[in-house]
Amino acid sequence: MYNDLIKEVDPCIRCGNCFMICPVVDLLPPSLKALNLLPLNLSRYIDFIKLSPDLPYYCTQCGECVLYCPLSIMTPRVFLLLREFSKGQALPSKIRDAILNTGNIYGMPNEMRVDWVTYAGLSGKVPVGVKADVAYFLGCMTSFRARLQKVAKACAILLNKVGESWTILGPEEHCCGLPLLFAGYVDAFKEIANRNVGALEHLGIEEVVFTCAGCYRVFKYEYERRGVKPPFKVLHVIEYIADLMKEGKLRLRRGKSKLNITWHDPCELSRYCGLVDEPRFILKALTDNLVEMSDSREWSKCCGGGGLLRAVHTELSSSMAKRRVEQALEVHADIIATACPSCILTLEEGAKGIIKVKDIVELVAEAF
Amino acid sequence: MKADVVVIGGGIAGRMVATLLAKKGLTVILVTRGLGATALSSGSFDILGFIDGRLVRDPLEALNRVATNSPEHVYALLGRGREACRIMCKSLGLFKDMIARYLKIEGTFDKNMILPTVIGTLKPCAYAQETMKSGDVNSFNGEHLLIITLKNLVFHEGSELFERILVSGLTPGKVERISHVSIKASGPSLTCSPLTLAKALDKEKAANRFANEISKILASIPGVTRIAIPPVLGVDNVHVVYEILRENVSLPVFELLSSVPSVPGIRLCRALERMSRGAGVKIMTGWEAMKAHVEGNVVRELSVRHELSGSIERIAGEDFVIAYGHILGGLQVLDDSVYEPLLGMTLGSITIFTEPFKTLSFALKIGIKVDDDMRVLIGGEPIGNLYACGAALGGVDPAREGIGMGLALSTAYKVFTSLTS
Ligand SMILES: Cc1cc2nc3c(=O)[nH]c(=O)nc-3n(C[C@H](O)[C@H](O)[C@H](O)COP(=O)(O)OP(=O)(O)OC[C@H]3O[C@@H](n4cnc5c(N)ncnc54)[C@H](O)[C@@H]3O)c2cc1C
Ligand code: SF4
Ligand code: SF4
Repeated sequence: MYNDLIKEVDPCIRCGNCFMICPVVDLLPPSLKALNLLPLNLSRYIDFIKLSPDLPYYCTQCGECVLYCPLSIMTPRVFLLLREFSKGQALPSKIRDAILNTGNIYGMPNEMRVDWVTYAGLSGKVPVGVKADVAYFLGCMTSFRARLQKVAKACAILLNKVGESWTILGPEEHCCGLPLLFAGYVDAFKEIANRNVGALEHLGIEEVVFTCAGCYRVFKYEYERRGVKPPFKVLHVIEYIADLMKEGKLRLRRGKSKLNITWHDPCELSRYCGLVDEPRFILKALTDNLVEMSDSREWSKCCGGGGLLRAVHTELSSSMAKRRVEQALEVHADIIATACPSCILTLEEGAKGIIKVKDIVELVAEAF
Repeated sequence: MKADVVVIGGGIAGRMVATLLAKKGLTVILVTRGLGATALSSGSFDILGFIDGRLVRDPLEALNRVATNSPEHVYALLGRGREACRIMCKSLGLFKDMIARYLKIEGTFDKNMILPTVIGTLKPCAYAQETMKSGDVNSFNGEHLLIITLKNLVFHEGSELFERILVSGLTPGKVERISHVSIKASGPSLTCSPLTLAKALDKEKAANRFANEISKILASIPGVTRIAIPPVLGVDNVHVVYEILRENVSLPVFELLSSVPSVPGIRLCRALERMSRGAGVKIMTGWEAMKAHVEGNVVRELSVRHELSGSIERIAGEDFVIAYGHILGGLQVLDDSVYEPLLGMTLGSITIFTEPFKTLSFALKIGIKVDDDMRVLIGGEPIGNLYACGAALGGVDPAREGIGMGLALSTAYKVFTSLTS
């Protein structure tokens, strides 16, 4: 593993670009700043990890540094490898235990994954574990967090509206495994990938739709990279909606909104999956006032909610969210639209009610 | 995926050629891994700074000489003598106009400015970002220079810089006195990166506060005639920030040229992104070109790989342009030779000298060979629809020869003319 690390950082020319643009480094106290110039400091870093195992968690895995590196060094991957060195860190190992024991990151009984249906007043309108063409994979956060259950509701309304043959997995849905990757537990990740793909295959699913950007990326790319190839189509709901609109199967009322909407590109969708045009296409149908923040598309700034940073260094994550919200205020946005549960919770906290944060599916469901 | 022209590389050369083609009405896809040498550049636009270590005063006259007398020089690709000069002037002129909405650059072709850098060296260049022009020591005359450094910056620390500038060989008479003040500019945290600080200054309120702060300092140091500031005066809004400063300070004020990492470099790249997107170029960011699929002597398709997801696509095109930079870009150093990955050719082997810089300089000379129409040569034969421009052509050591953006822009323009003629 040490060799993998060295190989990854070997071409580094010490230009300092990664250091200059990393949104985490920028908020660290000076002593930690220097250390976090990772490719430069690798050997020192490894010594320090022994003393302080949460060091490699000063990274949201946002991937921005990769674009700024003239040699495309995968610094986020280096951080992941380093996390394998520091598996003892308390919180990530707790999350792993929760996932393996209960099937979700919160350690709740997995049967509770369907509770939102009742809260949303959709009893009888959400098929659970039936054979269908399309499955909606919620992910842990959307299944369990009250704020995000509204997103699930909007997505369910959308699927019913277009008359899709669809289902959720309910108790058979397991965490997608991304937190396991973030915490350096690759074997456990594979196990969980097999379980999820198996459950979907069992129901004869042809297309899986996601509202979670992280789950989507994992299904789309990371399962296969680790030898578990999904036999179904993987779509983020923004692709699903954009396709429906292009085929004329979904008409949206132009919002009541004279409101300015800005799109916050989740790292998982923009940088990791290249989905930058679809959300803008949808939003342009909803408003005449789509405004762009100074950092957008592939060059978007991370909200602070990724890579377990929020779990391990919560305050830092909040400071990052505040910065991102400031960018939205600078362009006079009334609503930050996005499509990632983690971005929603993090940004909403940073927004402190000054500005609304909405999932794009919520906006779409309001515009039928 | 399909386009009339597929451009590989999103540095200044790739953006220039892609923008020109898109403005002509062609469909253009630009594939770029991310940023390269352009993002590391200091803020100047170098045509020719040194010949054999000697300072060049008139870059156009020097270009004329080089292009006439040294047919093996990469500048000879532009044409002989005056033709080379014509292409250089045309390309820089066009570029200056196209980018003006996003970033202003200033200068002349026939006289190099001599601009001071943050590490205290002096750099000859024909053009520079507008915020740097007043630093031209050619125009200094018995100045009292005030150097302002910023306490809340992790780089460009204060007093050291001050000393280095002093000893850097400013001709006596040009500068009579230097004062130095370190202040805290409004930034989000006590020590932040220069880019964060520059972004903070993008806001007019912050820029006004900063300008007021400087006015106050001026009141306490009598006799200042010129003011030098680290290169952090905004990113996307630099023109407005600079106007605010000029209005408030009413003295010549300038940014020093940057070292790496470079706010002016990133500023330029962001302006380039907006310029090319504005012209209708379809930009694929985060994608690496892997292989050109050649049939007979034409490229049919390009395989590209998305770096963070690993997914692979093929792009078809009528023409393809390599603009992926040098070894800080698409060219690779493998087993002591410089390797071109798209066609899988070794371009030349590197002699290892005892001084590392000499080795680097040697490696930089190796590049992609092209014919008079800028078409890529394999074993002396051109590929019909594959062109190359920018640093990928090799042939120069940017730092030692003071050749950089000027070469990138002029060769990009030459590719454009070949492609559209
Ligand atoms: C540290 C430094 C400072 C400099 N300062 C100055 C200066 O102040 N003034 C000046 O005039 N010149 C300067 N130069 C020289 C100048 O920056 C370069 O000559 C010029 O920027 C080259 O531009 P380019 O577009 O050819 O290449 P680059 O700017 O390197 O662009 C190459 C692009 O291609 C992309 N790329 C690489 N490989 C691939 C691939 N396989 N597939 C897809 N995309 C790929 C990269 O991500 C990058 O965006 C400096 C150079 C350096 C290294
Ligand atoms: S991935 Fe993002 S958070 Fe991690 S080092 Fe790179 S820029 Fe910083
Ligand atoms: S951006 Fe890349 S080359 Fe520059 S210091 Fe960071 S890892 Fe090294």
